[in-house]
Amino acid sequence: MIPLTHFLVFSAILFSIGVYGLLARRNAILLLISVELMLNAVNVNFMAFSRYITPKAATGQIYTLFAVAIGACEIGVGLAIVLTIYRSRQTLDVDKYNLLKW
Amino acid sequence: MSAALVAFYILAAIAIIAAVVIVTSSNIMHCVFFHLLALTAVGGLYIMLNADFIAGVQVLIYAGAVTTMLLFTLMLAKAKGAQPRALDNQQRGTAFIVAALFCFGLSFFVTNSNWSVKKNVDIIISTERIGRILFRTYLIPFEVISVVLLVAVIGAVVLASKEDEKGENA
Repeated sequence: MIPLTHFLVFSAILFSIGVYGLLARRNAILLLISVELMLNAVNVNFMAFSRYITPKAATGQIYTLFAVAIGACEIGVGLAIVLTIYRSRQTLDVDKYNLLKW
Repeated sequence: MSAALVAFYILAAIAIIAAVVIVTSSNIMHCVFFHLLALTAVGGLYIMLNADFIAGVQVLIYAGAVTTMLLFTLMLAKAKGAQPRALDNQQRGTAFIVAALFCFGLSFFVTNSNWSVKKNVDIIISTERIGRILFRTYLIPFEVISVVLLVAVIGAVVLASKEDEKGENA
């Protein structure tokens, strides 16, 4: 049997990689992909807890389903926003998105 | 070392290496395809957690739909003028320190916590059982999620639809 902490540490590593991507990237689509990585890390946590702590109720599996639905909404609306800004600014570079700065 | 543990390490290694490529590659197309690889490996981990239905959902929605949507957006946005600028910004060092501290802190607390793991964890949750739980216990959240999806669909269409010079939706 795989220990629960293996899954939790894996999830922590995946989440940290997502955090790094979110901080270090400047392309809007890559930022969205990094957020997806972080969402997936959280889902791995939910699934691991579902199997090891509430194996009968499957609460984590239901939560993962909801999180997947929310993630799909997020990426859909996010990409629509990115496309809209791309039309007006002609770039995907988030450093150039400074409409609200001045 | 049992076969399950070996399979776990292989899948976890695939997912983590793919994730590292996503955040370090200089070619954005590679990033999208390694995103597909990472999410599929996470789906494999779900199978190891006795959740075949969620693994299917993962591959179907994340690996299938989201990656396709990302590719289409990329092709639409790259069509006019691909910018030669680097994909990374100047705060890579700070970002690495923050992420490493976060990873070590989280791993420390996770490994030192006392989780109340149940004795019998090899219960297979069938898809039928998930359906029953979803439509009995979690019926209201399920309906709310469907409304959220509808709002997201309408919002995405409204945002992405092209406006002409007069500011009206074409």
